[in-house]
Amino acid sequence: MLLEAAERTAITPIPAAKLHAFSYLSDVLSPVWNLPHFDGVVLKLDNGPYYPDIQRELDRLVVRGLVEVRKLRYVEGTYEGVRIDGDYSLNFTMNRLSPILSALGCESPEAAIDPRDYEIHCFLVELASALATIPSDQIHIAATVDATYANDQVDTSNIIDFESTNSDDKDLNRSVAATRRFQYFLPEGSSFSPGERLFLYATYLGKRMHG
Amino acid sequence: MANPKDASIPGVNDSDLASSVLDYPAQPLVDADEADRFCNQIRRLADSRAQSNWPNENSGDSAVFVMVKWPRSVREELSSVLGSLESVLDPQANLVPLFGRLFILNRDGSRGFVASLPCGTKDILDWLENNGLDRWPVAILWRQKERITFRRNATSDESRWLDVRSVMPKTTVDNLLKALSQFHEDRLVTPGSCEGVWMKGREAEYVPSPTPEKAIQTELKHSLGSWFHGSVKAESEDKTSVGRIDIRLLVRDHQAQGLRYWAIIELKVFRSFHHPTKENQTPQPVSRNKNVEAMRNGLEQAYAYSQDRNLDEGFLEIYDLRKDKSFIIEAQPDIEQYLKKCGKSIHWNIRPLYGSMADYRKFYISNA
Repeated sequence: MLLEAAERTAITPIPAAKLHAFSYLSDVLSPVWNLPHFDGVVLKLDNGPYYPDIQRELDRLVVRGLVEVRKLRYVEGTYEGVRIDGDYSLNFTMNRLSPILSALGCESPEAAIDPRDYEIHCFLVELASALATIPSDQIHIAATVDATYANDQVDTSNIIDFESTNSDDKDLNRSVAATRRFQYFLPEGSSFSPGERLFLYATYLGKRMHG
Repeated sequence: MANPKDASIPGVNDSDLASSVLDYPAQPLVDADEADRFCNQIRRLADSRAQSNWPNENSGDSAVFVMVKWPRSVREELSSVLGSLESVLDPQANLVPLFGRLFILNRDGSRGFVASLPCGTKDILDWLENNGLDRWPVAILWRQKERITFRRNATSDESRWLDVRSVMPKTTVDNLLKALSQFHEDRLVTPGSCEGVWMKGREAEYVPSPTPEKAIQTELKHSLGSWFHGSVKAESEDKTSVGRIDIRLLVRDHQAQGLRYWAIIELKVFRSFHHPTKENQTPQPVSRNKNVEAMRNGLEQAYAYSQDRNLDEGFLEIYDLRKDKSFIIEAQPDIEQYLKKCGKSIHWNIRPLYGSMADYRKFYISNA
């Protein structure tokens, strides 16, 4: 679903680092769309978020022919040792691709195995659209300046746990708190929609990156 | 600004957040459907180029923009027909030449691919259909005419014309009234352009949908967001159909570092009939008093809200869905009294809608 959202926004082929950054941002910002966290935790690394599970899943999809990879290479990881990197995209020549994506909720709630997955898809597409306002080569940097990831109370090589059942706990998930804080700059009675908050947050990340 | 419920967030600079909010009006119309969102982005691109007198341009007169689901997939499919398609990133910021070219883009018009136009513009819709792109939104930009033709898909008979502005309209009362008038002419005066106003198949009988106000509210919100793109945040309030349904327009407030109210628009509808509960049922008539009450409520609310929000003026748009429009509601004693009280500070208009082209032509000819 991450890759499908990236395809819709035309940010593919997408390097692994950016895909992991997208995955992290979708996880930390999921409450903006009233969705539960997908993981709720991430290991804080110097080079940005990295999810071994997602990488394994990607590699499996490559083997099954649903995902293509270009510019395959090895990169040194801080924590996880040498790992595979590459630029990933969907393999549109596979006939099985469209029905699988429909079943995953990428077309309509009626076609999805679980209709709730359609909402997740809408969120991922909107987030990808928001992140597309950040220059391509900086999307993975955006994740490192994210308010939760950049929390200096959590050192590198430690776990950031941002899942909170308390919606007022802004210290746990500073990213979502920041999206709510945009409201402060509106007059009474006015509000931002979830999609607008995502775009505003992407704008904020852009400002954080450029100082 | 709203009272802060929480203190600021550790590690998050309020001035960065405020600065992001000030950038808000430049965002895409995030809550519009994808076709309208795309149309607005192409309009923004065209407007910004016209305002700079078309820099870095080719000699052609037209440019074609198609929104597709998976731009890369379409590039792969079309490469045998069009040859190599170049990647395009943020055509607005990067001054990508537009004319004489075909753009295959994402819904925000920000990324995708471009090739030379494969045929003359008058044949492009057929070309799109023959190459599997007929079901996607398409915008054609015309340099000489300074217009955009937009279709929700290439085979649609319905097209929309939008002017390209070499000078952006400022946020003034006159420009807002112009925008409201244009919206009515383009989208409402005859059936077909704005879904959800009339009951399907019974437009000529002047039978409204269950909530025509809501359909108009949504379209008008996006239309104003497009008209004043880059300057205004348009938002709507969702209440029950009885009571206020309005549109709020906000603009940047650099002093207070955020957005502030600029205008509030109340929407009301005059009806001949209630929406029937069953499809082929004879609809119940709406009394004259009901419509007079709608106008009175609209004036009261527009006045009250503009006072409440400290705005100099309020706006009331009344859409007249009546079959027989001869009863002059604004001349009723009740209404005249309200107009004396608050008329100077409320800009009100009654905009006629017609259930058929034939009825519109009759009106047009009799008033020519």
